[in-house]
Amino acid sequence: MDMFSNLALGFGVALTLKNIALCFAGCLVGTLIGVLPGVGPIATISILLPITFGLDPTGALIMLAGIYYGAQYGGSTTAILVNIPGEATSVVTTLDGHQMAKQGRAGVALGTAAIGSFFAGCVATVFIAALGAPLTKMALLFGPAEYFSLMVMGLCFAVVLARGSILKAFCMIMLGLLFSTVGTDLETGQERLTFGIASLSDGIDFSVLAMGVFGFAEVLRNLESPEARDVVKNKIGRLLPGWDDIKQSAAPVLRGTFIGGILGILPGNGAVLGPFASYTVEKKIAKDPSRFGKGAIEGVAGPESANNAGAQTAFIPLLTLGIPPNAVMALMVGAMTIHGIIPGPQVMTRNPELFWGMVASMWIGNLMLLIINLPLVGMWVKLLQVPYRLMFPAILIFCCIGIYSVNNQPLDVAFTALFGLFGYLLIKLGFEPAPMLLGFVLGKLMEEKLRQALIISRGSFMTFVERPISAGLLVVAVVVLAIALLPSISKKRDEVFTE
Amino acid sequence: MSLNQIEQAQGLRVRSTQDLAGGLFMILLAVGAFVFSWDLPAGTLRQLGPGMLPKAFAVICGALGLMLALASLRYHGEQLSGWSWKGIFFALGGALLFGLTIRGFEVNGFLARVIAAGLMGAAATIILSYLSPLNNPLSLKLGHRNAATSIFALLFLIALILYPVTTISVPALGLLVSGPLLIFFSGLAADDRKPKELLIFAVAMSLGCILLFKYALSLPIPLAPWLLGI
Repeated sequence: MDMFSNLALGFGVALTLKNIALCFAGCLVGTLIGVLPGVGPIATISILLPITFGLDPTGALIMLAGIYYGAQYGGSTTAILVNIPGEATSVVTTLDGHQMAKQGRAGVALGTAAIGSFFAGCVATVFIAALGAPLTKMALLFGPAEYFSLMVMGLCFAVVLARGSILKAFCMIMLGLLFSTVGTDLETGQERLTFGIASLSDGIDFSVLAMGVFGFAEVLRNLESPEARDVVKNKIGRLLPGWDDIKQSAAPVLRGTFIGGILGILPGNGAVLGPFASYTVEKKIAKDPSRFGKGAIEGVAGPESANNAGAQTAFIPLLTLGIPPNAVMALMVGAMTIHGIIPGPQVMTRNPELFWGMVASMWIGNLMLLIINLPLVGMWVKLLQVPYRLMFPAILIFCCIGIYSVNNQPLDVAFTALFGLFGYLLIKLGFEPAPMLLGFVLGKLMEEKLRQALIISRGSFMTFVERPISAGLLVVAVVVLAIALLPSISKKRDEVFTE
Repeated sequence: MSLNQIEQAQGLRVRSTQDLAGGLFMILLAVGAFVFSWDLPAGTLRQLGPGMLPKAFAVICGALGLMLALASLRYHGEQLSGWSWKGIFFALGGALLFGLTIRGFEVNGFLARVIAAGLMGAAATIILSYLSPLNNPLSLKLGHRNAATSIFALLFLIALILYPVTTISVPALGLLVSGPLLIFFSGLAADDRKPKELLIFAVAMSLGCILLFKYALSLPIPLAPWLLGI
């Protein structure tokens, strides 16, 4: 079958000694940074982006994917051991994971999370391999109008699925879109909103924005309050779950993988819903729901599997359509562009070894996480005890060296500091900056597709409604927004995110 | 933004300073963007010009900001909380120092005079306060801070008038110096800072970064051009 020959090609690329080493290094440093409290996957990838600069594109992407999984897994470790979720998706893990840790079963919680994630990762890899080719073929049917409508739909989903106030999420998306218009105009070459600053004529640099808003601003946010870290003092205990634990968690892992995998494909950060949905499902069908919140192993196994499955299937829209479904994937777009790869359907046809090599390395990365993380848990615990007063200067120097290395421009460091201040301001005003990054990355693409579509239709906006696929996508977008704004639903939404 | 029927009936007042400030902030950004894209031709809907999207996004941002600000008068939400000024000054200042010194910089004219006076004033204030019973101004206790500020202002003015510098140029210091500088300076932002520990950490971490970025990853970042020539 096609899929198997493709996967064979991928494993041929990914299993070279160099790429295995890169995947390993990515997973290791990804976990290393991701495990730091308060540093989620977005910050981790921003911070570690520069270490991939010297590599060839395939190697760099394999390493980035490794960093991503490492960061995800590191986030779960922090959630279980310290009760600090690095990002929205590991909030659920803190509920039962930290309780298990308090009962001296931290090892089992970590082990279950790792094994569940590994299983989910295996399934998701096959899923990507199976869906990749047909979706890419479908993508070729997409004209500029369909792309534009798809992105509008993605942004609507992102508004609806964002944490906190819908209005504020909307603000952030629009601000991201506004930022994306800075720079030279595509058609006329006129400078827009550049204030005569030469380095703005190519637009706001992606890594400057990301590192400022997610690297620096996070540091400022964390410096605000004296830290209260609740590192588990109990023994970690044995890592491998016992037979009873396996029996209890097998079904949740299966369900979690399914839920997370499906939701992950949704544009607009569907992946974030996975763990929440899985937790709710497990609690609903459990014989004794009162055990949840008090260290139920299903409450770790299900959401963690859903988390990892979603994290991985989120690659599908990015790799096949070239449209990032969430902020992490937007970061991947930025990283790919730095390496000269424009994500989209053409990647698979033009650089098959890159595409399939990355898919194969996803599986290898998951395996590595299982192998390196379980023995290294002791080291992560040590790392969690490093005081923040030493942690943040280290984060800052990583960011600064990284920013400088993107263009070898010292001025970029100053710009990043400025965006750090801006990001901190946003945090203080209660805005969640992740949707802004998504809006920023999609903005450029959207403007391009909008103008192309209008040129093809000779300036008629009707083209977005007349073409059936495009019209369908827009209808979905409107329906999703309308439903989210209905009071009864928005109340439910609040409940899901506060639970 | 949660809906509360009882509160809603009690008329308009600011119920969430955070939302109000957020709304005003969005409006400010939108007005700024609109003003600065004023000269760009918007074109027509049939033929979009370069100014169309910036203006359209600015208008939407402004409208959303207005909605947010109005909503803050009706719905309860978070209040504004304090800033971490120390974090902004030391952490972002450290990053700025890094950017300025990694490849060196040159400032001319009046700005150079201001910067020189500022640096001299700051240095003299710190030395003076170590000598005086006022103790360390970095401890930022309120009374001490006021005293230190006035000493600094005085010294700054004297230096500004008496010291006619026209150019300040800092050579490219490279990662060997800029790294520890960044770590040490930004590390001062922590409430529980320990200068000695920080100093050792700054040197060790910088050496680690040099090995990692310069040698293991061979990024073209200057190491110490003034000393080693690379």
